[in-house]
Amino acid sequence: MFLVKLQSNYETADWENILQRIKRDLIDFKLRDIVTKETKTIRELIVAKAFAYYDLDYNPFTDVSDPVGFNPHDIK
Amino acid sequence: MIENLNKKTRKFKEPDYYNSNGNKKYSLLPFRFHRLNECKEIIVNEIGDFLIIPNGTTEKIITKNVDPSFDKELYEDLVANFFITEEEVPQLLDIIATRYRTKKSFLDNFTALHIFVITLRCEHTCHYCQVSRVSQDKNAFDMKQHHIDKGIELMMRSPNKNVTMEFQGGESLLAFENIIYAVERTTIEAAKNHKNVTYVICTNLALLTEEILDYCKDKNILISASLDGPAFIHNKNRHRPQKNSYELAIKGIKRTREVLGSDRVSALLTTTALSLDYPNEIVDEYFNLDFKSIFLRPISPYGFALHNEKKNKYQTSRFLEFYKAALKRIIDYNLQGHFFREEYATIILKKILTPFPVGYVDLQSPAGMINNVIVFNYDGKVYATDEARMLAETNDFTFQIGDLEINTYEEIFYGEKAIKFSEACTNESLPGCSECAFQSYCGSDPVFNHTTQGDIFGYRPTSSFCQKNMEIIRYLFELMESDKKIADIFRNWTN
Repeated sequence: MFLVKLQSNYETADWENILQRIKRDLIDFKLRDIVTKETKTIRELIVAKAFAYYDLDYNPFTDVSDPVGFNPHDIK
Repeated sequence: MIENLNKKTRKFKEPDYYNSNGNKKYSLLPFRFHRLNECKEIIVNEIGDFLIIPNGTTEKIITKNVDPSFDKELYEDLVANFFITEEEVPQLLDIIATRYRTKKSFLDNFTALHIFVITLRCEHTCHYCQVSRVSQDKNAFDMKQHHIDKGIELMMRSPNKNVTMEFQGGESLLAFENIIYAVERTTIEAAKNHKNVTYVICTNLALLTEEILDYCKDKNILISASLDGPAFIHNKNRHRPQKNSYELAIKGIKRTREVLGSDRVSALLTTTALSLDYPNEIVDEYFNLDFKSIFLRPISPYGFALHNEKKNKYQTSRFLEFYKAALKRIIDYNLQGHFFREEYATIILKKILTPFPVGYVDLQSPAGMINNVIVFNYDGKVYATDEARMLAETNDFTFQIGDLEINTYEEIFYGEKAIKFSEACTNESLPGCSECAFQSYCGSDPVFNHTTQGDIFGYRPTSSFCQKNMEIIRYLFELMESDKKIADIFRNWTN
């Protein structure tokens, strides 16, 4: 747990607004931390694949079908 | 009648397929977020795709509380735009990677822009210029021919098939005979090295003659002029003893258009403290002179307010007010049916609305210094950017990366300094930038950081580069969200 002391350099300060923003920012940074930790591996994978010096020599297997139903492996 | 229909080729699968993931939690893909205003947030993924959502939705997404049935439209948008995935590794990962590579494809060809500071002599005394000299001594301030030769040799070593040779000054036309020498020499070398060369002369047009225009027409040279706005602003900024800089610039622009064509001459605005009070007048000046665009370049810190956070911040806030007022004027012209765009916004909008990178050095990550631009100074020294050589005029040689007399291509482009600067060149790894929603649309500028904050990495909370870019990007999103007509105008600008 942390204790944070705030001191204004001016005669007046809108403390309600400042505290609201600080609380909001703390939540935001917590959320960012969650995303960073959960997506670390995928992010590294994206960058590694983006700059890897190789050619795909296979067709990626996926359930996503061609929008007009064309199947290059089943042409009659 | 088709009896043995292969159902796997059908567009739609069975209904159960679409309900099968109803109870399964999704996984997050990399993205960042920012509050646009009191009501809306924006989320942006690793490849620059964005969604604008109501405040509080981001928390719902990250805490895995988006329900595929209850929040159907949001859920589908998140999956389709690569914010979440229903598998641990998304099926279209290779597509994401390819798009990421496309965003960084400006790195494939390395240095394109080669700036030759052909002379430091100038007959103007612009108050914001760091390099102004008035001298009869050509030997002291003109680029030597053997330096030109060496610069051309290095330009030919660039892996880029398409290079730009840009002549700057001082006033370039004061050393026009050297420009002729450089162009003639480059033409021969380019043919040997199979390079396509674009030539640009940066000039105030005060010394333009018919002979110069004829040569530019013959060699297909582009002209980049300066126009700071209406006469009272331009002449105040760009002082000449005869007080006629504006008149000469206008006369030069008109004559250049007649000889070379309207698309062969452009004008660049330098924003000064005086300019900040006259956004509409400046925009109207460009519009009335039949320019199709204006580049509202951010105010430069190299002439004043160095290492002065308060003055920088004040100037940045004033610049942002100026920018928004000028942009409103420009949008009004577009709403009246004219095509007239703002170049800085267009650069950012291309990054937002298209999958492609842009060539603007100051908004690239990795930064454009060395990767995209190099400067060969009149004295044979080599600098990482144009601003770097301005710093050198104030005796700061931090970004001098070589000497045409001594250093090889490898020592300049891959030397110790280049490696050191590269650590501060990618906003993906800079504190503050690494978590910023606008990372994909912004860039990194180590020279600016060093100049204004004394450190090539910079400190984002007080960085005027950050303050300016974040607010402009946020404002562009707000404008697009507020009015579909403005969104259409912006899309038109990116075509």
